Amino acid sequence: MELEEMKSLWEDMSQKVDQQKILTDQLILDMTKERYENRMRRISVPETISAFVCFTAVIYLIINFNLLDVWYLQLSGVLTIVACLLLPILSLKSIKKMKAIDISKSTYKEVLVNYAKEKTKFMRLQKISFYASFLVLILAVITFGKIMKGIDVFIMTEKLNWLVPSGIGVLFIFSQWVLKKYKKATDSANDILKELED
Amino acid sequence: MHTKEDFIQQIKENEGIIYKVARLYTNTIEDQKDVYQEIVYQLWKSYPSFKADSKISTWMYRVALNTAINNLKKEKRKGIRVSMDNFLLNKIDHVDTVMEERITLLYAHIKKLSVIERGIILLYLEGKSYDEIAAITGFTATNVGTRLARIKNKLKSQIKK
Repeated sequence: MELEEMKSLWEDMSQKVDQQKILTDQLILDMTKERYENRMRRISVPETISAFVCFTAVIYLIINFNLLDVWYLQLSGVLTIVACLLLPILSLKSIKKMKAIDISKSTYKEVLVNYAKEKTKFMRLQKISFYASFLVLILAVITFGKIMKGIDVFIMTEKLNWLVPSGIGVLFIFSQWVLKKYKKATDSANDILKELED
Repeated sequence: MHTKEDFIQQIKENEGIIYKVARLYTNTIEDQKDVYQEIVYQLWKSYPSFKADSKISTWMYRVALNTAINNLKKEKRKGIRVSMDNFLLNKIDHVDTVMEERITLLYAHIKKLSVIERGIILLYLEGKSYDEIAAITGFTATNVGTRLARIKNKLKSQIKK
């Protein structure tokens, strides 16, 4: 297929597509309506649920904070509270930022730059949140273990003997996978930025 | 004054743009339908801010291309979609199988280009001038020329293979 042939084929296709007229008034209205309602649902439901869970956990921890009787348990309690408050706020903030992009006013180049930058940023955030969630999980086990069951995991040395190495093993395997994914996405985003500079 | 009827009319007159852009940035029919619908939604959302003194097609290409790029970062959409079973995006297939095969090949060649290049070649194939491509993409007209020369060389060597 030659370039000129490509162009003429494209023109033929354009003509055919234009002639088809497959969109109806109702279909256009349904598309916009469904997409709008769906968007509202997608943002509000998971965000509301996770925020609700986090804030409930915070209230529960504050009420039962006196049960954390040793300094390291109190520290893990405070860190769990901070994490449970910060995570939903950060996620709501990132959604707000995503919604702020005005597609109609930006040029193709601007959107591409934004896409490449956001992709890098998003992958960095994913990497951070991967390690953060692992940490939060450990903190939550320590804190809730004490509050709900009265267990101080730090003095259960027998269980710690196999829990710690297996935890580190799982973290290592997953972190390799996360880092590989991060590198691939960041490389492709950098390629776009480099190509835009040419 | 932008009315709902005006918007519908504009979409119907330019539905080919949406089809071509959606197909260019997706690999499956499902994704294509998703992007198609997202473009219609984004056009509807930004229609009130569209200034009538500029060309409607320029605005549509811009919104369509930008939406397709923005869609690249979403891995998989789980949204509800309007049923488009009777709304076959590859309707050409039923009209002319040979033509559809050639179009599929044409798209395959274009999809081998980078994300940036795909948009530029689309506008070139749509018969847009360098200035129009520059207005839509934000590159200078000279830069558009340089990029197009590079894209044409790439396509030539791809086709020869």
